[in-house]
Amino acid sequence: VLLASVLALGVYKSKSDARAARARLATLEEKVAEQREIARSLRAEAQYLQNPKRIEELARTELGMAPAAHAQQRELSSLDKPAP
Amino acid sequence: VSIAEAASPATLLAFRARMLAFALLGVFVLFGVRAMHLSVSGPPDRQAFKSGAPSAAVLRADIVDRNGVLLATTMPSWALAASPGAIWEPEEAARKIAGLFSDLDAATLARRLREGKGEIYLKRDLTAAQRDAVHNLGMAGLRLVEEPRRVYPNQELAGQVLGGVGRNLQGASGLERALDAEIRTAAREGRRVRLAIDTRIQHAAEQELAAAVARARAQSGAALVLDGRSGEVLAAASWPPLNPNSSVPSSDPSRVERVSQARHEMGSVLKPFTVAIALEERKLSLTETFVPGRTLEVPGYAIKDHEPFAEGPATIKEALAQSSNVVAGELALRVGAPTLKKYWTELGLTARSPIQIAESAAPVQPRDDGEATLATLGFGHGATMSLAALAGAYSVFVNDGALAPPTLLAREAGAKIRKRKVFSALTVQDVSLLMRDVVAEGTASRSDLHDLDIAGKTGTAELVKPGGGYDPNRVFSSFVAVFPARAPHYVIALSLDEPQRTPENGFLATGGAAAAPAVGLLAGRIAPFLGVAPAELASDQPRVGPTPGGAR
Repeated sequence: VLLASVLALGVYKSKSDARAARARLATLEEKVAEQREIARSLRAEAQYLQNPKRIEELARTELGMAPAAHAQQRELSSLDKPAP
Repeated sequence: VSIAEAASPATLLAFRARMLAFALLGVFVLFGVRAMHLSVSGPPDRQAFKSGAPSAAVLRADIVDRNGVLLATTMPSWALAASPGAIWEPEEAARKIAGLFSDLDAATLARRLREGKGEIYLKRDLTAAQRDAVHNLGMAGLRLVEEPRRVYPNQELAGQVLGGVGRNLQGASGLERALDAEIRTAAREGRRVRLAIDTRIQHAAEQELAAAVARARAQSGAALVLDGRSGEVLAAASWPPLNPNSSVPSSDPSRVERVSQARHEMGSVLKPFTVAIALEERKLSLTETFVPGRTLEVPGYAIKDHEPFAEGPATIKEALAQSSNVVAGELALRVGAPTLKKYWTELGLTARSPIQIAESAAPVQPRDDGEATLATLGFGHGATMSLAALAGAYSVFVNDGALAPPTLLAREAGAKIRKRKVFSALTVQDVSLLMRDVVAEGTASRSDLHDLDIAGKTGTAELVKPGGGYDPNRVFSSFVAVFPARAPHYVIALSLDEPQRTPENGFLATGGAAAAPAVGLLAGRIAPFLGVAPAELASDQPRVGPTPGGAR
């Protein structure tokens, strides 16, 4: 009888520990899912902010930049060596 | 003698009590066993409580460009629904709800809550913060419905190509519809769908197209950049642009996908194929001379050039460079209808483009095989097709005569590409040289292409009048280019619907004047993204002055 009750107590203890761990796991999983959704929103937001149209408009109006024409492009090897 | 009679009443009572005790013991043992079983195994349907509704990402995968830039994603979103019957004080409720959303008006809301029946939707596309705010009102009769939302963070970029989804996230148009199954499968497998499109090239194409449309005051336009070796579509732009995040009525011109959905009689941009077919079938030699200014007589129709393509007898080089309809028509007649059709089919000009856009439209084919029809097909009239189909056919000029069908999905590195051999390498080399002359001294020579190593063909197709016949004042102008011409790899096609004769384009509306310069600007701008070095794209040909007169 003593052995049986010790065993029963042991089972009860491990069961309740497992239940607590499971609850913690569920909370954590929920948190992970929540953070994933937030990351997803932030990624979309970031892409909205860096979409090429917006960047080009800013570069044009704020920095006075323009797309490089073909005639402005040279290869490094085709340039003269700078004077020493 | 029976037992009952034999036993005394007292013994009978003891026997009954013992039976009852045994029965009770049995029940307790059963309870005990079940209790032990439950404590070891847990409640049977515990798993069912654990998994909630599927997250938004599970329904539809993200779409990214070839470099992983986000083009489409699914975000959690909620709709606010109300059951007016369950709301006690509509005015009070309306005031509280309107306080959360700046675009809702308390008076209108109160009226809807007073008079509405069943369940009504008050607001859609709520963010997580707005959802929590509604939740905190703690009001009866309100319900939050989860409605994941598709978001296109780059706004107009590739708007028509991406298309859109319906309320239930079902693909409704564009590649969202054409690739619906793939996008759902990818979501289940936790993948993203990777497109062939390069966001930088797409943006440059859209910009140069918009600028070309503005210069020519055209009705609409399309541009396509193709990696001709793999068939990958690097950019597909339509003007007017469309923002897939906003709902636009289906009758709006921006809803037309101009690359694969819009069809046109393409005109002279098809002549390189007529020449290639004639060369391949040995119905034409490069040294043969043609007399300019001739009229080609076909039953019921006389084909003439607007002006002679040369001063004296000249070869196919001058005829193609100055885009002679007479010579192209004659070559088609030499080849014959069955052969011409066979090649057109192999070039993909008689079927809808396989590009993964739901709206991709099938071409309209001529109804008869008569000589007049055949000759007009030779210079690109009498059949309509999409720019995507046309550009796909031009891939033969970068693959030694084999065709690589256009695709919007990125090719995996090392994946086998199924190409279809149409012409011999020699034929294609010859025609490519002829197309370099179009740029060097032909109809495209007035453009900014002089210094670029580009081969191509212009097209200026008159549009059909409402009452029949062609209208010389309304044209569809285009330019299809292959570059770098010495080692061709890419195809760029750009078309303008009804360009005007504007001062910006030298008072011309031709493909050479309106479309070709934009292709030159675009090629120069995207060359660094394609890894084409400046020297590779620089022309090694001596610069020739612009040809005077109304070259087409």
